[in-house]
Amino acid sequence: MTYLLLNGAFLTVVLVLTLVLLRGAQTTQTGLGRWWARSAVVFLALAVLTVVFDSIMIWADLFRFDDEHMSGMRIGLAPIEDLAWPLASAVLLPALWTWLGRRDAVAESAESAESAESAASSATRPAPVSPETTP
Amino acid sequence: MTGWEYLGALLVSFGCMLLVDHRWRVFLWANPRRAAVVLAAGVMFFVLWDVAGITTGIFERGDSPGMTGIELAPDFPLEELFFVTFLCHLTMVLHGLVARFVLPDRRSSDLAPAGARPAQGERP
Repeated sequence: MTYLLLNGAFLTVVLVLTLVLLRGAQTTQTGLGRWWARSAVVFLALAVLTVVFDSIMIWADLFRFDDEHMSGMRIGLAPIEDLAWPLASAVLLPALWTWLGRRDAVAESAESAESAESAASSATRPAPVSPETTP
Repeated sequence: MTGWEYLGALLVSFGCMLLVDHRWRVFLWANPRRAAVVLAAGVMFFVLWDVAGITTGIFERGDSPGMTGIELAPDFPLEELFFVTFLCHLTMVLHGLVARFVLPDRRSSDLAPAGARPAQGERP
């Protein structure tokens, strides 16, 4: 198994999970386009850091790669395959964060709707909310 | 030969990013529970990726004198756990900073001029 193939498998998982987590996210305040743009900026920043520090870490012999599994393409000393890590991180983690935030917001609005309902039922009679409800 | 240079560098970097997180309250200081879930999931995911790379023989640990020599598993040094945790935290701090200063939510930026805009992001 080559490193590229291994990354392909993991990035496929990342893409599927991210799309699932982002389902319905366009209804939130932040548009999906803006969400992806943020991840793109984060990826670019992480990619630069990866190239610089991966090179230093490989030079320092903190870890090695088995040549027979590698594409051989490198930027500095950093193999291009290593850029899959910041890519996965910049997409999957914010997606999970966004999903958790939406879940919290939904739970909160359900809670407040419930308390509003009980408050309304305890009042003498709620004021009509819209023309449709007035007889 | 073993040493603490790599672990020390990781801890210093992580500490600095924690300070940034604390200063702008973008991740752990924005919503600790939500952030802990994201961190735990991210660390598990990258450890899995590491283990896959090690078992297929793609990754090997190096022979640097700057590592403690402590291994959590064959070819999986203690430092790697701190590295993936740092990577996940760094990613989310960058994401929070980009969301606040570079590409903020349209609605709130449209409503008020930059100076009058309240702090965006998470509720306290």
